[in-house]
Amino acid sequence: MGEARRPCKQPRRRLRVVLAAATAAACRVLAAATAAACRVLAAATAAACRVLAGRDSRRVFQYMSAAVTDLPDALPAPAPRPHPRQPLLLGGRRGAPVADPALCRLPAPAASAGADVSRAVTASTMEAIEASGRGVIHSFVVMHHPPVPPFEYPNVIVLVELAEGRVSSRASPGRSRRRPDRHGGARRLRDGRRRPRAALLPSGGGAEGGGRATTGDVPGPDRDRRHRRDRVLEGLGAERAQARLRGRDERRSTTPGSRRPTSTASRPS
Amino acid sequence: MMDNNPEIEVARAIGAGPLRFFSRIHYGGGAACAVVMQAALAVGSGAADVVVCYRAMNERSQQRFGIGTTPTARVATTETAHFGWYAPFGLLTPASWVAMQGQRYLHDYGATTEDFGRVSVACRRHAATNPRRGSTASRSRSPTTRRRAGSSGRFASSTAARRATGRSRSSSTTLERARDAKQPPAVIRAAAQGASRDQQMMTSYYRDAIGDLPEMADVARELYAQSGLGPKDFQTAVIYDHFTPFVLAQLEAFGFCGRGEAQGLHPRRPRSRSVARLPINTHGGQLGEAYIHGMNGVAEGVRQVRGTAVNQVRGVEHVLVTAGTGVPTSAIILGKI
Repeated sequence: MGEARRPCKQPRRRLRVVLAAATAAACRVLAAATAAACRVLAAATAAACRVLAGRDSRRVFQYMSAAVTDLPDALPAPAPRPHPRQPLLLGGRRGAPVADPALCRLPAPAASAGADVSRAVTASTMEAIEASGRGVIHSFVVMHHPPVPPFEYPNVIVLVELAEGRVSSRASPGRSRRRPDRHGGARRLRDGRRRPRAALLPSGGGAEGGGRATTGDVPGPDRDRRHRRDRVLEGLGAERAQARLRGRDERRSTTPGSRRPTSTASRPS
Repeated sequence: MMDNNPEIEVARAIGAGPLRFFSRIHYGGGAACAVVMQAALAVGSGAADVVVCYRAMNERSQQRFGIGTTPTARVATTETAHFGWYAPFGLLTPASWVAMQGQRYLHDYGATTEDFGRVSVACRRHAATNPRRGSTASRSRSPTTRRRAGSSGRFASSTAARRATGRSRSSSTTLERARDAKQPPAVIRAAAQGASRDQQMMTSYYRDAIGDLPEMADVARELYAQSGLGPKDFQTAVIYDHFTPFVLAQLEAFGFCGRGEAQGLHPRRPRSRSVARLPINTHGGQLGEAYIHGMNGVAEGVRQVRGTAVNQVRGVEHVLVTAGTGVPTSAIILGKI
């Protein structure tokens, strides 16, 4: 019986082999096509992201409240900005693409409307304006993530309080490999100027104004750790930063014995 | 809540009769207590006699939260469009969105990541005695040490709730019916939802103080107004702990301590005594028991009121249960009958 079957079985087996081969070939072709398509897509996405990240302008889209725009003097003509491409934030250099076009809210035009109205996003009127390029870091994230092109890791992302409103941005394209809290020493920027060193300052306060709002400065290991950690929350222009750091050094030298100043503007780096 | 199991399929599976009222509430974990509130509203209005609130998650092989990137392009909606202002810079994941706010909290109030870490430690410690804890948590049988949880600079990754598989449910009905039930009931003393000004999904970055949770403060005011209770009236609380920075912000929003003082939450060196006396997340929370969008927190609140919790607090009269934050949120107060 078995021998009788064999002739019938052979063609079937051959057919199966042919079919399998055909399927495999089709799969290979499909996989190759898919891979190619994916590569093209990824490249396009990466290119788009590069374009986005590298665009050399600091435009800010502003939503304006209808109630505000209707008022004649609600939006006074912006004063001319002498240096629209001033260095911004952590290591921003002149002309560097730092902040990208991003959404922000119109800060209170206090003269004509209360803060309630001005902060509300009620109108669809939107326009692009050139940002002054100066800002204060409101918060930041050092992003650790399985690599996603085109980002470099660790990727420092900042939330910036621009004069025009709050935006998110990468801290400084091409410079994000360093952790911001390890910018210890003085570094020179490409154009020869000193890198503005970042220093912790009380939010919104002057050099001696604010200090901490809370009971945070209880002596102990917590405090020391806190001081080590808290250093980059405000980016400064080079001159201001140096002035502040000079001031800090003076204060430090006048208080021998007190290892770390508490509740003062600057923290040791 | 949002769920992959439609009401009709659950009804088919359990052989339930005709449904008279069904509803789903959006915003992930922010709906954990909102479903209880809306169940109470349905029962109160007569739309329903008994409402079952449920949430089931299978993050291992089903929908997974917290990845940030999706294999397929998503259609932009009004809800997702604002992520377009963060994703181009690589701010991709819920952990990173919350970290932006947590970082500001550290700056504003002089807290450290160790303060955040203590929340993890407390939750894992409670979970260690909880047989219900998720399988991921059970692998580390010993509670996470403070060193491991707190000293890491990458607090965003170390303090996020782990993915979990599990399900949880609770039922709401009238007090009269509940008296006849086999199990002693927990009474819903107050319930509220909250979405504050300039609220976004996870990225409410345009407020003055981004380290705080104004929507939870609104909910707290509402709850206290409804119930006539205050922060001192709770013996324990279930504070939604998807990300530890928001646990501190919630304790502050509910007035267990002043703004920025929740960092005093420490078992040995309590700076704020009212906080120290308040055991939170006795089941282990989202961090220790399982990440089931807070429905397991509601269940734990009920157990604490009944006196059947695995880490039972003595003399429980009222339990506060909160829902996910950073999103439109909700909270309830459960009490003894």
